[in-house]
Amino acid sequence: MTADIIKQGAEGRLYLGDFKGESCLIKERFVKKYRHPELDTQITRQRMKAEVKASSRCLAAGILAPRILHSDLNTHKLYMEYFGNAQTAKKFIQDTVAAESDEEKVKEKLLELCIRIGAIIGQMHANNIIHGDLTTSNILINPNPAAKNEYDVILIDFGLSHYNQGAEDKGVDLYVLERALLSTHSEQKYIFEYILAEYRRNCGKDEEVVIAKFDEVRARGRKRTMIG
Amino acid sequence: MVCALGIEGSANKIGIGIINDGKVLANVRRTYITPPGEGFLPKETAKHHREAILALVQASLKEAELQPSDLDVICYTKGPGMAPPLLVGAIVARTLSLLWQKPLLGVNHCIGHIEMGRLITGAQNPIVLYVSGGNTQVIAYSNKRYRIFGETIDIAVGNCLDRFARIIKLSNDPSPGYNIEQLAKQGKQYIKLPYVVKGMDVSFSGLLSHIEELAEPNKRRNKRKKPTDEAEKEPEYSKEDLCYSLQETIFAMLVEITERAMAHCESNEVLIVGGVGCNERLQEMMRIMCEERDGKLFATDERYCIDNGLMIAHAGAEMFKAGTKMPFEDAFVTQRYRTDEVLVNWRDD
Amino acid sequence: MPEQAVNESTLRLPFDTPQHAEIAYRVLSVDQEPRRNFVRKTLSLEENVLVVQFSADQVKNLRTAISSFFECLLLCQDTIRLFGDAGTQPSANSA
Repeated sequence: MTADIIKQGAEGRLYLGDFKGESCLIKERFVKKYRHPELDTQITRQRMKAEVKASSRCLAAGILAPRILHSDLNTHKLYMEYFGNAQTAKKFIQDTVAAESDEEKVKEKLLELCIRIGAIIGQMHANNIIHGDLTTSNILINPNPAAKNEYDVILIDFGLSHYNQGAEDKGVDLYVLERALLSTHSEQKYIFEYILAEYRRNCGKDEEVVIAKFDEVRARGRKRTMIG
Repeated sequence: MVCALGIEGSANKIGIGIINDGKVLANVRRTYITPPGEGFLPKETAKHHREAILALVQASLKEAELQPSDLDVICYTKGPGMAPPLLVGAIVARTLSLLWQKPLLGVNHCIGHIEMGRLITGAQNPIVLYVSGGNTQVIAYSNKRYRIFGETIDIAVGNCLDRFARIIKLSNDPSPGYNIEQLAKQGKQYIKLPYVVKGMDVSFSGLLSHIEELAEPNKRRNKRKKPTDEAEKEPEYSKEDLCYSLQETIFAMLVEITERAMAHCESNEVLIVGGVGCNERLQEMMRIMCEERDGKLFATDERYCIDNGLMIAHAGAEMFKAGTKMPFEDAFVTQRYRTDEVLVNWRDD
Repeated sequence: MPEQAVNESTLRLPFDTPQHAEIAYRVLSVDQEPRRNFVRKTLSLEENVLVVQFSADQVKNLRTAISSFFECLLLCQDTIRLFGDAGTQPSANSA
């Protein structure tokens, strides 16, 4: 393989390539030797299919996500749109914190970002798409002079996603995000609050039920006694 | 040099350990074993501990060849766990502290597991998978805290295994998990079970109800459902195959979230702690994952993996060396005590 | 019928020495009664006697509180009996 490896993640590697003349990102999933072959095949297929489905659902609903050009279940490869100038929200947040010593200015800049993130996640849930792995590593910031704040916010990595109208799954999705933020950006505890506020304005008619479910899932975590 | 005595009794084991400057001097333990099909209840477990604890303290001093005056600090498990058995350890620890005029420290049970694992294996800054009857957490150290990156959103992995062992009436001696592991070795057929990973979190409750249904297809779980006249259905799968498939599925979930945490934190070391951590199949799967990414697995055997007093002594000794003090009035116990609540003032990295 | 009157009970527990009574007093003073029990527990010392007063709205809760208290008291007493003379003063048969 001569292609440049962009990232070697937990589940696979990302590298540049092309599909029918269009340059693209190739996401190749590894065979995991630690798990039973049947389970491994099942998981890999399920996640590739989930990624394809969620991407097209998002795009149809006007939510930015990479277009999937082709999927090859036999070689475990997905060919998708590549955003060469984008960076992850994780890096954006960490760089913002590192570059600015005035905490109020950091908050201001991150508030803009959180509003964008809250809106896109809200829209996603309004369309009953559950991401399954919401972290700041799975949200891209892509420069776009024509867009608000001069960047687009793009959701990626839909391998754990599924379609569900229920409030429980949406609540769990939010809980996963909150926990990821607490562990990755533990010093900026306000980030989740900002995101949630904007989320509520965008998540559709079930807002109250979803938030109630989210509180319930959260309480379950706190109440767990953890014996042994 | 710090010489510490530790008392652990948060679940069905009561254990005393003595450690001197990182050197293990004594590690004694007794387990409350219930009949097949039964779990351990708080009151009965506390009674078991009350009857065993003082003889264990004596045995530990004898094994360590120490006088009480040689000790620097008395440590006990403050939580999390079941209150009545925790209280047994706390009462004895308080009394000894006053009798022997030694300082007293309450230790977080989970922190005890992590520090014991680090001491025994020499792992420096690993991603920690903490798996036991009450806990399922993926933990990484950062900035004076053990932060929880992933955990179960419903029941703990050990709880899932224990409850399944009860359904198929496996013996609780030496532990339900051990007996599942032995049966699983004879399993051949892989049965598809729900596999639920959400981000770095996992869920086992749906899987447990699914496998319950497979093990006991005739049991009426829904009381409103009328009994049918149909002939009794034979369970389709053997206990061996069920145990095998259960382990393969839940351990794959655990290895997957651990690997995600490794990628996320750019770490190459994994440490497995907690009672489920001595399962050899889990260790094998984790080792394969580590080798695939040039990482290294650290694991311990049942002496240190399963709840013990030594881990409380060791974590307490680390706290003591770092200058932690606890007023006597604060020597209570608490059922809920999260791993990330503890300020890790003994680590400088 | 739920009892409205306050139910009270006082225990007077003698120890071998005032020191041992004080140890038991401090050890057993740490734990608060569970809030849902509506039981008040007050400990005090009179020389070598530990005095414990309980009061509760319901007899049932009073009994539960006293019985749990005894479990802790007995464990504390046994600990004192077994380890009380080691450590604080050198025992005759230790080398």
